[in-house]
Amino acid sequence: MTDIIAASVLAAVPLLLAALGGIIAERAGVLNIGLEGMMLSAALVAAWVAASAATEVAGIAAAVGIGLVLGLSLGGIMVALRGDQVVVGIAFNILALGLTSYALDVITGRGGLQALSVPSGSIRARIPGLADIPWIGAFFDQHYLAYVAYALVPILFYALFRTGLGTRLRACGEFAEGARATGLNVLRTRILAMGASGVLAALAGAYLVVGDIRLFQQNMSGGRGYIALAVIILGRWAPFGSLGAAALFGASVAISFDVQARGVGIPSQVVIAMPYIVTLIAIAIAGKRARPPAEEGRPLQLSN
Amino acid sequence: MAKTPSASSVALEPDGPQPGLRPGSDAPLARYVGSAVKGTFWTAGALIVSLAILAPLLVAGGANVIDGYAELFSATFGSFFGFGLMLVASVPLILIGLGVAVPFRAGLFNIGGEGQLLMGALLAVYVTTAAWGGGPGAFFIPLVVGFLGGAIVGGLPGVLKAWRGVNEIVTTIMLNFIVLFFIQWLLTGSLRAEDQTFAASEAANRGFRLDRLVGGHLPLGFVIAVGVAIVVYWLAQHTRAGWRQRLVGLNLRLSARQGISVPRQYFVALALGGGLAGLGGAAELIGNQFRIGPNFSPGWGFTAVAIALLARGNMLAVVPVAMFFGLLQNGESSLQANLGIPGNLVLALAAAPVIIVAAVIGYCSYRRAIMEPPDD
Repeated sequence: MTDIIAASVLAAVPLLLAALGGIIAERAGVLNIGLEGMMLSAALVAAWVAASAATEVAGIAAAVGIGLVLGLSLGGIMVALRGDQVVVGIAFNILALGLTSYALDVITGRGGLQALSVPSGSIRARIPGLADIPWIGAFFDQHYLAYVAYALVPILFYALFRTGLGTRLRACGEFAEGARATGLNVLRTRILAMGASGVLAALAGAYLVVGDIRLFQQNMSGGRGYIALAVIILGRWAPFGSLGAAALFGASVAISFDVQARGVGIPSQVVIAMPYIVTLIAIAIAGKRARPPAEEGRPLQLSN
Repeated sequence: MAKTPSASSVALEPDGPQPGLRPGSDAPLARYVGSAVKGTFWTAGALIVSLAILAPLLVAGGANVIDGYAELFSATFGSFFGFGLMLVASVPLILIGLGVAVPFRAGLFNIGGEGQLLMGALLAVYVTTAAWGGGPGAFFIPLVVGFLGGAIVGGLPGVLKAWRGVNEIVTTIMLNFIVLFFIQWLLTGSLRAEDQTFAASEAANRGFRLDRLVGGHLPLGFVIAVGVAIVVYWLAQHTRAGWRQRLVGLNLRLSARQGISVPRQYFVALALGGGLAGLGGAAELIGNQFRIGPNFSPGWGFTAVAIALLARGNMLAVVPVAMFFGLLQNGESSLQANLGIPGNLVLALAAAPVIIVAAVIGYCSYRRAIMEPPDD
């Protein structure tokens, strides 16, 4: 059971972080399809800097930096220049896939090592006391970025639904012209929301590298940015809802690994494909009931 | 308070987002569908940008920029043989590009080209390695079967989008992974050829393979791909069915008023798009690689998205744009072999200009919208 929980957390944390980033952007009215590319770019930067500087923290810091830059740049293109959010997001993801693959070959030397390793270090930060609780103790024996993810759920809920800042942000996503009429700078709010979204997506990408296998591989985000979009829909654009949805995905991955480990004849490819199958089924069931913020994907057609 | 309409749907803005439709805008992609002349201008500019972006990548890869460009172009224009290779490389790009452009005209994004082409190629392998060795005209069978395979993989997101309102971007990309892992699983067992060092299927029987015409320089697959592009263009521009598809992409509310079933059009668009991508996979299989392995596609499904966007949904423009990226794909192999440049160049070169074009189109239509307030 402890193993299943540990594996669930490992799979759920990047989805949760990326989904929280997506929620901030979508609540402000910007559909951030670029989560996937942001995760992938940040994962490469985290691995590269951590490997060169020989410290993990430098890698995470660099990843956060690149996430902020990417979020603000994409935000500028989507919000200020009114580039179609879906077109820009998808093109950015393809660009990130191409550039990270190219850069990986350049960094590691072509024909050489095809993965970029991070020096081994303290992967886990045990929380004394809590980690000793039977069963759920596994939740508190994780990489410290996992605790950041846990903490962000209530923090983001409070910030979005209980503060003036959150109300203004949501106003930009539900009724932008009205928000602007009250004197709110909709464009700036949306671009900054994209910056925050990029930072969280970057943490998700960094976690893939430092929290788990400690190396970078080509296309290692493996569609998690898109699964995070599904997590957002299933979680009804709310932090706690996304926590539940991410936990569902994490558990499905962990259980399928566990079943396979017990020697039941499931091919490993089916286990690897589980998150994608679960996403497909879950999003099909959620279907029409999902209702996004009213202004999502719609550029502000006013000069602000 | 009246909403400010987007430039493309001035008089027919809906009252608000409708369930099951992409929120916020009635005609999400209409701005990207260009008229022929304007489209050519934009596309040519974007392709030049794409070539310019190559320079810093060559430097990063450790090559001389002049040598790099020389190598890139001589790979295609240096010999008839090289030109034929470019045409071969263009075949899957044209067909899968059409597979993205068709749903795009109906306002939908098909980023599942990878899964669809793999399914098309997989079914084509089963047909072409069966007992019958093939014969004249037998290539038609794997192409039809490949189309059906792709149509099934594209049709599922189509059903979910049409009747459950599920976002097609997420479902198509999930199916990419599911089909890829399915094929990898098959390659560990029944599909794998015994005599191959790497995991790969049996080779397609010779009787099914696509010939090369005109002294071996003109691949038959290229002729087929261009023919399909012309047929799809004709269907889109000159038939009632194509008109319905385009109207759904341009204005949902008007479509509904005209009695068009939007869900049915969504399903048809994604199934047809998937079928075209599957056709691309099958044509690549019987025209070039003959076997399917885990690295069958170098990301054509994604390059095709950029191709369709740069062609701005114009089915005929897909052909030259795809040939341009066929040229880059062909040059990439030769850059890898002769100058030691890493692979994976084409994806970045295809995607970067799309972002620029999107920003320019977005900004121009926004300027137009605020300069000329519509009468409402």
